[in-house]
Amino acid sequence: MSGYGSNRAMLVIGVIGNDIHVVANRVLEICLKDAGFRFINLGTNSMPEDFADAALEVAADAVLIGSLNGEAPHWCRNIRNLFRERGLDRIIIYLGGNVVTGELPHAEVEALFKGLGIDRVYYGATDFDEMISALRKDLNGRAT
Amino acid sequence: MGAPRSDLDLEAIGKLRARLLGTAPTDPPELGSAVEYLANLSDAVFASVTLAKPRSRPLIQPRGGFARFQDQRALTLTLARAGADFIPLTIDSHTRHNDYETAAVLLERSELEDKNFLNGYPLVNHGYKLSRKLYQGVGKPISLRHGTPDARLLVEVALATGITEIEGGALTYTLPYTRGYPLARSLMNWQYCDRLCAMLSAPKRPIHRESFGVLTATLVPPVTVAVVEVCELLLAAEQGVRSFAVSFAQTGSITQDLALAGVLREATHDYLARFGFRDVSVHLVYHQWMGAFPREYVRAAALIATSAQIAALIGADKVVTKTKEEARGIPHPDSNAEAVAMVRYVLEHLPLPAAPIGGKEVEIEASRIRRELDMIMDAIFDLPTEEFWRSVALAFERGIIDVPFAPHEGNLNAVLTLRGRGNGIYITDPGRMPLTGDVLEEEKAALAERRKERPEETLFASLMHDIELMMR
Repeated sequence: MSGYGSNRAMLVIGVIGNDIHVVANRVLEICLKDAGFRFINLGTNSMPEDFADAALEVAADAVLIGSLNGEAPHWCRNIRNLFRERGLDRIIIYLGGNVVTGELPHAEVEALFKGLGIDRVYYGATDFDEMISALRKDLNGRAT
Repeated sequence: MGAPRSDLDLEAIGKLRARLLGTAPTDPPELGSAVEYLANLSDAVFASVTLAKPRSRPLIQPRGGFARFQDQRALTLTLARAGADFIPLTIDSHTRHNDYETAAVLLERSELEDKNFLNGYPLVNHGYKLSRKLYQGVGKPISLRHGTPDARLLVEVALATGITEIEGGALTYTLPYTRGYPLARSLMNWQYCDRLCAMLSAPKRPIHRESFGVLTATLVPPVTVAVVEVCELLLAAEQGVRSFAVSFAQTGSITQDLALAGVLREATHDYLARFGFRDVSVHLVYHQWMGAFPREYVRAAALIATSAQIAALIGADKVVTKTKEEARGIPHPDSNAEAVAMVRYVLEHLPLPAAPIGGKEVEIEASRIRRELDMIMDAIFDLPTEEFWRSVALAFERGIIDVPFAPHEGNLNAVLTLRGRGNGIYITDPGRMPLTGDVLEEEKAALAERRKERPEETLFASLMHDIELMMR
């Protein structure tokens, strides 16, 4: 699989950290397939470096990181750097799921992860249809 | 063709056993510990004996496991008093992954801080000598509930403890529970477990094995459940198991529950006969709703009570209960006892009909599931291997067995299902399941009714609706 030699965007998706929550990941996989995206799914229990390495290997345009156990602040603390180190300066990074423990105001959660270099944050129940429209927009913006 | 064989040479696994038993961290059992202990137990504690008796209602089994001995003992007594027919011993997740060291650390911490740091009872760490005391004076069969791809040592210790029902199987305890445990290894480990159960079985009171047809409890189509259950039954029968239960979880459609129960009853009988297995008793276990559970107590209780009634309607031999705390975590023993009492109340006051409940819709559904099951089983038997267990491994590799939402990285994830007619689970894309012709048309027709009702719904909205069916 490779992102080279195609006009269509290539994505990497997966669930970060020691996190076995699989259902949302599979639902996302089904929806991306249905929406015609090319992607690789790292599945559950994927380390931050796995996302960066995979993105490099398949020449990904965007990375969609899931986190369901509330540990995202820990696992994403250096995430933008990992991609930069591999020369992927312009890659789009989304984070979604139960990204913090307890309940926090959305604005606070968004600010936290945007500060870590994440482009869009989907906290709590997420409409994947909306997320996919945003992704198309961001990918188009990036192409020009 | 790797057909199941009833003439396998059940050579002694003594040497392997001795080595394995020596690795137990606490009170390594002797080769004869289990046999000797089991021989002196009363008939009443044998699951196979209890299941073989005629009865007017499904038997009741809750779930439950705590880290510390005294908590597990208290839970056991509470559940027995509440009217549970089977007493569960649910094992913690570190033991399930053979990580006895972490289990030991967290057990010690639980004891020091007077708080549960494990989500079940670490049986291997407690050892059989202490664990036998859990069941003094209880007089009911104990069921081992876990989720372990390599359960060899755990089953050894369980049998030495006097536990007479062992849940699990290579497919059902690997695909939903692990990300990458190789299925071929799990198949070999479970051959050991099955054979051990067979070896320690007395003719009139065999050790009972039970499969876990629940799988991921997330939009798993009935045929996938049926295929997996028939495979695990045949794998166990090959190793000499004489008392076995197939199981499935409430689907969300009473029609489909009735149909699947009927198919499982008939097909297990047919496939055993086809391969020359005689004298295997097969039972049917129904799991109350295993999907996303409502948080509201009133809704949870309604679901539990209704599901108890369905267990009776489908003629289940045993029902595995949920509690109103399901959405919130591990239930308090009192809440668990309350659920047992609630289910018992329903079952005792609304007894089984004399004849199975059916009707045309159930027949249509059952006929399709059975044809699908036979197509897939034929494809598995036709795979180019010499042994049945290898065919099962290859079938998984090729996506012939493909379990929706299984976390296992070897799972193909090509099957797509949605809810259709009467909230039943139907196949929109069979992936590489070898289903052809009429059955796929019938699946589509059952889905068309739903599309008519909700024409604008996106795939995402449909999936979320269907997964969260009971939370809406």
